Amino acid sequence: MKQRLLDALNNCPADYAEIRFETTDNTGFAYRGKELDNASTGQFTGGIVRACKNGGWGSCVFDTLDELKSKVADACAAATTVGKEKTALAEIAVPADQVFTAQLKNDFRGVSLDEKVALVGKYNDIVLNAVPGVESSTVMYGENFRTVHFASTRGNYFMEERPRILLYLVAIARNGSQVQRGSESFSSATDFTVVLNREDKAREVAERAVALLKAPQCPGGRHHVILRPDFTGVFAHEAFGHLSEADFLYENPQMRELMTIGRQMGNNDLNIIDDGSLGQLIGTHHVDDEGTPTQKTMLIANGVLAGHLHSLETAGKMGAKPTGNARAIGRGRPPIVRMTNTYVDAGTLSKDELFAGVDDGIYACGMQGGQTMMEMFTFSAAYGYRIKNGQVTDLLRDIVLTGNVFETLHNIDGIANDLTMFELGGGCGKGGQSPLPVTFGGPHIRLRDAVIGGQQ
Amino acid sequence: MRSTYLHDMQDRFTRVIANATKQGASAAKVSFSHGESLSCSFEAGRLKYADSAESLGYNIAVIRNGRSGVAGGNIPAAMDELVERAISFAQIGAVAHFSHYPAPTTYVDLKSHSPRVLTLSREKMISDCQEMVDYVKSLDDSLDISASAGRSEGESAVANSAGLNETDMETSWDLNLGIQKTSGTDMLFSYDYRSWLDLNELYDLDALKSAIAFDLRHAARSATISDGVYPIYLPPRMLGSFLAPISMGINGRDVFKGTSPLKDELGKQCFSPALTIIDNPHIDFSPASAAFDGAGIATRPMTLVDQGVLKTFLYDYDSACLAQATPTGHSGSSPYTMFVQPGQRSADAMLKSIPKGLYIKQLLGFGQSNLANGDFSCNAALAYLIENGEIVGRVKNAMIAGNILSLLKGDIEFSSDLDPQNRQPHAIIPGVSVVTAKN
Repeated sequence: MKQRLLDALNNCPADYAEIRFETTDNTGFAYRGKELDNASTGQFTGGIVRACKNGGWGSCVFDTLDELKSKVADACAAATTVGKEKTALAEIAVPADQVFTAQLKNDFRGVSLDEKVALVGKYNDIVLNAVPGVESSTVMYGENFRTVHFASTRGNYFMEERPRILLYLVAIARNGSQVQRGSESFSSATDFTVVLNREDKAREVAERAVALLKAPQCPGGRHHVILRPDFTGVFAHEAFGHLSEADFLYENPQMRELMTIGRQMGNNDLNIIDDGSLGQLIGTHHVDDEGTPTQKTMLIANGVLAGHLHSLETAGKMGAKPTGNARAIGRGRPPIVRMTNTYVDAGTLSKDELFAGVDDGIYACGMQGGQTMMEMFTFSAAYGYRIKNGQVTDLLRDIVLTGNVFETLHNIDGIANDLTMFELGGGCGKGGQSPLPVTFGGPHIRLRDAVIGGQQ
Repeated sequence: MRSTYLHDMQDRFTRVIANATKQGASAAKVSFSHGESLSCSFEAGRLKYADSAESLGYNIAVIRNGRSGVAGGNIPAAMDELVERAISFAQIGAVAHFSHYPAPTTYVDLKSHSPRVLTLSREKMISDCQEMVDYVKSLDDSLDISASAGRSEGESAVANSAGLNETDMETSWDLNLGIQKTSGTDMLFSYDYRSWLDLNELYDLDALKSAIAFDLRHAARSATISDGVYPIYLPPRMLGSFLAPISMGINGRDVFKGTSPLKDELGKQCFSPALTIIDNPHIDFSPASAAFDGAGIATRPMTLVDQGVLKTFLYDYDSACLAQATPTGHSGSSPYTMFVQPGQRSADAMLKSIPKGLYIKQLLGFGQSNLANGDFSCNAALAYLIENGEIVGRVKNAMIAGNILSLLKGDIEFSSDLDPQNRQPHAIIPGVSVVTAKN
């Protein structure tokens, strides 16, 4: 494969060109209610040629390696049409030949489909029958094995295997026109056991869905809020992480000024990190989709803006070093600047100390989702509780926080010491490429005067 | 197209279905699509990308011993292997509620391919994007401007063991324009787009330019609103989002499984008499149109809500067999379109009638709400304060919340004029809660 890709790039007239070719093999099935409701499997191949000439990009998306040279020529011709300035892509020092086979602790490919279906069916039975009031369920298992081959006109080549498995447990409870859900998800890049022994979680989602039917909506207004670590991770990702992606900055002078390294972003104990090289998490790779080795990047260090996330181009144009954050969701898609494993680092307070500082507030738990428009963000908790005199009390539903990141980060007035990383289902969406596997993480944190939407 | 696979697929389809049947499948279906596209993109006000793509894909679905197996791929030569995989998968696959596909019938002839679309050369698309970018630059040269255009041509085919054997050709184009205005930590994002299957009057650079100019003009002033309950004024693009709980609630499969809040509401006055919704999949050159669903059931225009009365649930073939209902020709048991029928007053007259409210252009986090229950709570990412019938400025840091299924029972109103692209009216929905960060 290496030679085939490099041969196709030989004599390419562009300033830079690359070919990424992938194979994916995926299987998924889901129970909805009592029955196995859908099940599918697939095998796909395909890739993309990207070429850069005089600062302009051309690309050609393809399914097979047939006539690869003509696809390179198409991409180069398109880039030549576009380019009107100087190509400025950062240089990286990488070995010419890198092969990264997946290091699976418990290989899901060695487990029979019958066993997997039986396992998911068992969870589904628990979700449906654990407590009265559950109307239906969605219990879903998915597995994907992606193999990426990459070569560029710089002479480098890599092959990396990127497997992923995931499990969703969803209970749906209904009382008349009131419908509520309880959900949990689990994912891993290496270990099938992540989906095993989840009976307690299946029971928990059922109990929560039924309990949420009676839970009041979170009252709208300004509240002191403590974020559970899984929710802290989403906060780090949505409220700040996207703003640090340099493709939003590098050609926008106002944004570059706004996100100047050294800007005070929060209190001195705030540290936010993206680390694509961390362990073997679902957001971890050896190299990104431009062949840059992944790394740990301090985004905020001691409350001060410390770094951005880069591709070759954003680094080249901002005079920075590439950080290994150019990621594509799959075959046929160009890499764009993305987060990997993003987290708020641990602070010094104990969880109890954090709660003791809240007389009346909200404890936000579980990730429902988040969205950003740079300075503005929202993120939704799956559920939460009222805090009274430092104690967790009544269950609440519909907790959606919003705010301006430049104000909100300053409102973090307490960070606990219980950093936890979460590998969940779903992922990040950007540029139509969703869901990209990312990991969220953080400790409990306390936010002063956070705005929560709700009915009056 | 540079290459066509339709003839080759006819032979493969015959072989796949015969092979699946030989291996004990009581029903088999193969669907195939192949497309080519050209596009260009401007970033930061400059031409940045020129792209081309060719891709194909196919799906094989079999039913064997009451279970279905589905396998997908994109290498034609691997099709026979994928049949084996689908058959094997059917051993553990999803429960199928039918054993044979229904016999094909005659289908409405929908137009979906226009040679005019293919006259959109890359040079023409670059030139049109450049024109839009230059116009927006003339309004404010500090803006971060993005624009893109694309065109595609595709072919598709589907066949099943009941004798369905249909092919289709389709063209499409899309045109997009957006800006980011950054002033300190204050940001404005505005975008507009058009797309269609025929190159007609909808390909209108001026419409996109006007949409951006509208937001630049009105967002130049800021406004505040105190916490409270207000009417919201929705442009046609936003109205579709507020119909999501109905779209989800009339899914016949969810109704059967008991997870729809509309389960017990069929035939009842669920909403205001002002609300009538029609599903029409028979509009020529509409991306949402279809002559038949995934099982070969003919589609037809249907009234979903008639003057507030819920008229029907939607069923694909499998869901209909499961629920012992009549199939409605809706793949996935979801509507193709949800056209809200127009009201009496113009959108402009409606706006002028609002003493105080919010004009909602964009929402942030709407999709994270429990929409299945009708609940929403999200940031009004781009909203304007309406006072005495006039837009007076942009409101920021406001969260709006409510239950859509309840709000649509209220004193809602729809405009007499429709958006040319999505054929939806403007709407006023009273009773929405607003919470702001600053009063």
